Amino acid sequence: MSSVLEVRQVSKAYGRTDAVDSLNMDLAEHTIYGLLGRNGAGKTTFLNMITGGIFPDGGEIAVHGNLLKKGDVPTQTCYIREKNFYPNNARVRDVLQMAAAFHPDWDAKFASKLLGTFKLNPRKKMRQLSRGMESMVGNLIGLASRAPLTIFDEPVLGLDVLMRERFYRMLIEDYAEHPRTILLSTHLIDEIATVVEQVFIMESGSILMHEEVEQIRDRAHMISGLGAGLDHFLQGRRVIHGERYGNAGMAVVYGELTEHDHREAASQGLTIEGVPLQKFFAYLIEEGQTDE
Amino acid sequence: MNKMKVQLRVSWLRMKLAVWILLAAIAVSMATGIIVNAALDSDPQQDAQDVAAAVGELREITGNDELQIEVPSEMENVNVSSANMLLTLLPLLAIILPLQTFRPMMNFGDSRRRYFTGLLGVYAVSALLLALVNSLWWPFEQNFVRIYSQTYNLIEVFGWEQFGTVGAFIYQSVFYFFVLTLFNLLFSGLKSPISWIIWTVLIAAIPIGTSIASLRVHVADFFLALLFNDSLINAVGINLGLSLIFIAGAWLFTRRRTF
Amino acid sequence: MPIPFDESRPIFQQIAERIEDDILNGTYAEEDQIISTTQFSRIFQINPATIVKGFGLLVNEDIIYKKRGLGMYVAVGAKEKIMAKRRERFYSDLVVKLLEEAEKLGMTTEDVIQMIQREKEEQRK
Repeated sequence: MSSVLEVRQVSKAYGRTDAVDSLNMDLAEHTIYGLLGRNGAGKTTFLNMITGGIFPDGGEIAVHGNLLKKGDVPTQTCYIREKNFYPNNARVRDVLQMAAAFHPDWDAKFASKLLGTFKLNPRKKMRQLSRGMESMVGNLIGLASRAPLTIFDEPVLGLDVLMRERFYRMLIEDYAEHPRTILLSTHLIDEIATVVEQVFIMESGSILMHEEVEQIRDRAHMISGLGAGLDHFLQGRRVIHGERYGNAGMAVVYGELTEHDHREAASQGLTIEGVPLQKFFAYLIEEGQTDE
Repeated sequence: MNKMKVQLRVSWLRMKLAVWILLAAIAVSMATGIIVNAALDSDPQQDAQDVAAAVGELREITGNDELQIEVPSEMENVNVSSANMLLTLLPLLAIILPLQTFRPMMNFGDSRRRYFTGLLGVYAVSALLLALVNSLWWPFEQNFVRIYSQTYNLIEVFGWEQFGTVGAFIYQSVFYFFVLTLFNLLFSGLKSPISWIIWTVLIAAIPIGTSIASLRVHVADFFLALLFNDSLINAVGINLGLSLIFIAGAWLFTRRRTF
Repeated sequence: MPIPFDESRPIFQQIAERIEDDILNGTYAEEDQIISTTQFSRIFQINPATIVKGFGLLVNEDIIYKKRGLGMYVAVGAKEKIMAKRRERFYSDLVVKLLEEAEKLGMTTEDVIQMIQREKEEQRK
């Protein structure tokens, strides 16, 4: 598989704070990725760098194999910003026509179908739209662009449940027929958990974890039981989070558990459960913070 | 729609309000000009007699024989030619476009290079169009407008009529392009410290250039060569030469301009 | 309309189980074509790669097989294979745990058997 995005040791500082710190990322063809992190984790700064909006202080970025020089904007890329900059006195219809000029793979038929699905009135002016509808115009452009690298920054912000659902449905549907590389940046894991194949978890400008979502589901465990047995079991494992109450406790660990591990836990009277993803990420980010 | 068309569309959307306001202002000023001139229907000799009589009365009332009132010899209203008022668009274009179209174009996925060449295209077309409008307006102004009101036009003020209709058109085009590229330079790199230096130098140059006598001659020479040049070829050379420098400067800002 | 999967367990396993359930309850007979990856992906809003992985699990166990260019079909003897596998799991997951829990509560194996028989009689009534 050829590489769609290669990021090597990219850093960006604003004054004394590192917005992005020696970050590495590789995106392959035909995969949906999630970029997860809290607000202020550096996601947007990073996305602005890989799309040529701002320039890194150091490191290298290559998009579709072409090294991005200072001032370059990558081709075959569609970046839908969290806050869009479409002229506010333009009509939705015109904005779509204008966006089409920049995307060689644009599908006009699909775009007009999406207008209906997303309940957007093409005759409305951008400034007449609610925050959610404005996001939907961007999302529509991102989908209809069919760009080999499509990036959405917080695509569902301000959307009601129905529209979130519709966006992700159209994304999955269109992706199945026209595979491409999609990067979804968000702080809400729950909604993209089944949509994305792999996630990058970002905190304080660094990637804390890069993993297949299914792998995380397989490897994240919550173990609870009596303190002594628990301590013994946790030895040598990656403990993400731990809590004690009385002489009992619980811990969230990350790693594969073998049949043998399960039997050992059972013999110590420990119970092993799965951890919901959102919980796991919250613990992981918390852990990343206390490390500083 | 191709990318250039998108840029024209975005430029128009951003300029729309300013253009309508300007056109409305020109219409209002034309209308008031006609009304005022019609109402006054003035006769300079009659005016002078009226003023003399009024001064005499004032001297009697105040008992001050020294009292004098300065009266301009020409009492009529002098207006800027309506076609020249349209030239307000030059600074407006070159301020609004770099400030307001860079991000929308980048947001659509445009490259800095294509955006910049497109912008220069918009400027070139605007300069030619405005020169054309004024060139067409000029005979109409001389033969018709001036029956009703006193106006002045850049073509006459700078003596461009000496180059004939086509010559005046060319002079205007290059000068307008010069103005556009100058403002474009000033508003293309507002985030850059180099741009702040250019601004400071320019602002400082005005009082320094006019107050120091030895410099004043050079400043005057410069403006003579730029605006009152008796050689059309030299004028084109100076205007376009300076434009090229401004374009180069603006490109240096734009190629590193952040979103 | 995505059916909530258990978020704390790999989804591809749950997809495989769902297809197995459908074979067990007769939704799909032997040699029937099963739902396509694309359809499954659209209906449940799940990344197609995850579904391919889930189907792959069943292909490896010879429960379904791929007809080139047509789709996935239920293999002959799939139902028996699933039942055998589930019986195995029934023993390890349910019977073993049941007896462990019974032991914690101080119950003998006989007590458990009696309870099961009582429940069976209740159901017959």
